[in-house]
Amino acid sequence: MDTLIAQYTEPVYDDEIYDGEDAQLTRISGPPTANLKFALPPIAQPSAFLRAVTDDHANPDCPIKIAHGTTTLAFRFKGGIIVATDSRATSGNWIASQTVKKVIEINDKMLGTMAGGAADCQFWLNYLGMECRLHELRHKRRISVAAASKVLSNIVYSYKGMGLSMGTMITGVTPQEGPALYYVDSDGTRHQGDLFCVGSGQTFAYGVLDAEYSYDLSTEDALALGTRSILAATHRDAYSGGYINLYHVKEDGWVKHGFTDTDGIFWKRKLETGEFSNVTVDL
Amino acid sequence: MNHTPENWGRPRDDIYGFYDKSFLQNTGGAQQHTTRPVVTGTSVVALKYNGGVVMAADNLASYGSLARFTDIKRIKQVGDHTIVGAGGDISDMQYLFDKLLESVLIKEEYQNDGHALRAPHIYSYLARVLYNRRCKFNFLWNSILVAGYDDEKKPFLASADLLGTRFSSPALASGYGAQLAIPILRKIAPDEASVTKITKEQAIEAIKLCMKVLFYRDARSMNKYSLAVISEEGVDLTHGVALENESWKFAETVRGYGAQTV
Amino acid sequence: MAYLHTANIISDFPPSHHHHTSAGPFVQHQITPYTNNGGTILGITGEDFVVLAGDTRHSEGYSINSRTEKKVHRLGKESSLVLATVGFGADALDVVETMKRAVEDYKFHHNKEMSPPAAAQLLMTILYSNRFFPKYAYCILVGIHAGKGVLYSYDVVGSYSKSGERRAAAGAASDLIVPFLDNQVELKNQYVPYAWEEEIPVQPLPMEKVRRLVKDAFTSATERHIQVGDGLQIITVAASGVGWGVSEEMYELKKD
Repeated sequence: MDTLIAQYTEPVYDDEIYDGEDAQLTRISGPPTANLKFALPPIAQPSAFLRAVTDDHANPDCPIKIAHGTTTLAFRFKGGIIVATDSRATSGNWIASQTVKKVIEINDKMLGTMAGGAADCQFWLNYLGMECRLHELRHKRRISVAAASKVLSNIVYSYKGMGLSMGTMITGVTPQEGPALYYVDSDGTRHQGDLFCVGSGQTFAYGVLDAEYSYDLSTEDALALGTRSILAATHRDAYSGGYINLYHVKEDGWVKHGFTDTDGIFWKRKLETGEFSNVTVDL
Repeated sequence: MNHTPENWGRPRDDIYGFYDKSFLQNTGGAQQHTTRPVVTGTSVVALKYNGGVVMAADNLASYGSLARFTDIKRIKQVGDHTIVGAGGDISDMQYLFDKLLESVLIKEEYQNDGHALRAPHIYSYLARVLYNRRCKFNFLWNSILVAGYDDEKKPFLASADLLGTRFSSPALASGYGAQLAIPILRKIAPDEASVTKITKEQAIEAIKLCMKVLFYRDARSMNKYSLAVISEEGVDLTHGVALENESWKFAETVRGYGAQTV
Repeated sequence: MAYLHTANIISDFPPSHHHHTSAGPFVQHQITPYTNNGGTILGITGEDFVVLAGDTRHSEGYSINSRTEKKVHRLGKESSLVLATVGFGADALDVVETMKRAVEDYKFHHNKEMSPPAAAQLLMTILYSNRFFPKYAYCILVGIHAGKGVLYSYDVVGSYSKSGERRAAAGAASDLIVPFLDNQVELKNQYVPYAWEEEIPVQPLPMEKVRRLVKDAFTSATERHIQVGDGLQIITVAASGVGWGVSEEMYELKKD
């Protein structure tokens, strides 16, 4: 009887909004984990739409500008891994921030770096942190860096072609691997290596890092080399600058070695060592 | 992803295709179900006064530049104290008015709990419908004004458009009204405080003046309109009000185009 | 494994960007799902309080839609959380409503208020869930956490600094206001008079000074930006002796 009544009392036309498709509502009341539902523009080419509204390099007048621009580096040496980044975020010619933390602490043993879309790196490395913790709970031991980086590359590969922008290095030191370093980007690329520089200032950083790098570097020299390489990039790449964020990853976890203004480092370097003689100064 | 330093991290043309500006300029890839407005209504104007709201919209539905229908009612009474005026696509307006709003009203009646939907509720609903549709790239091609009383029984007036953009002001107008009527209305209602000094008669007079100015300059308007006055007694909605004191004398003084040689 | 929510995708429609428009009596209407409604928001933290402000002009193109549209929203009657959004008005309000709803739900579920760090992470999740169809809304979220004023600012797809920020500005005139804040809040390029290169140390600002800075920032932005003006809504969230207090001040800006 009730169904009979309902049949004749419900409006013929669906109530707009109350059609059960409200993604916002389902999301916040749904389970907090593994709920990767992304709203898509309901058109034939979502990625072309996304690019049209967000690629401020192809079109400086695009309506939505996502922060970009970076120099990040990481290298393996006998004492572990050095991770160093700049801290500048730019949208077009506008410096959106000079204090971005581009080293993401996945957990207290592993670090990731941020280059490309800030939110892409932040969200997926955060998500990776969750997957790593779940791995620990399921298997009663820490995930290897190889596995963690592969989890990440598999995820971003499943979104390939949709417009993610992420260039990251996953680092950690585990008993079975020793110091481990992987490069993962939003194309799905994953490389193991001793040394990577990523971002718009990568070439400048490589220039310095390749010239001075050795696996047998002392920890002190390795930290100095990381700083010096980022400094070179901030000097020559307009999209890099701000502060140098420096980390040392060891088997018992990572250690932070400061967030230091490039301005002070630059002048100290110039006046004490005579480098950067291209910059003239009358004192 | 592009790895060359100058555009590092950006989409590569050989993967994503060339940058397609058409998404920013027209409906682009969204044209599968986005209609263009076909039969259209022009401006809706409204003004709050001390104790209520006055709203007007002419009775014309245009088909491009053709004045196709001349008895279209673009203001709808919704419940006892609320009115909705719509400009833009007429079929979308009729869907909003005759299907959605009717259905909402009937549903509210079923409850029979003494509660009635007031203007802010109707407005909130309509604005969410419009926003929901824009998120589906399936626009309801309208701009609407909602007038009535809020929960504190104070005059309420607000606007929503096809993108779901919402705003409220003592004087509102859509379409050409935003250019031609708003300056007239803001002269007497620059802010919320000034509304208390406006009488019903003054408000009606101002709205009538706006309809006249709009008829003079808006080529998609006509000299017959619906006028709604909301007061505590309820809604006084009259269709087919004729434009008063129309005079084209000013046209003689207009120089610079037309047939004159001097 | 991750999956995509791909409802409503229609891919077989012929591409038709090039069809010309003189065939019918209709104008080819141009439409994008976004518009820019102007306005600016600004937040500054002090030691045990935070101030969040936004102008009340709502515009589109050269038209002023409203002079009294508020951009700063409290997320709950009992909550210290306050969210300001700017950009495309409809997206901005949608983000606010989603957050309000989530904060309310959280209270019902846990019988306590959502903490600012939790709300901050939630806001990122909400913004990032629209990564491929972004909400064009720049957000600044503030609140009181452990007796301190905290402030988080976001880009449109949700990146933010977990440790919070001392100050942030977003929207139309952010490029006018941010350099001012660098100088006046972060004390960038401020040196002790007559002392060679001795920087003035950065200290938390008193509340009156912060409110003054906010008003100065907006009166100046109003002079130089067409989308800023009319009114200024300043919300102060203070951690006082017993809990916290939220107060609102309205300040007139030029209406030209």
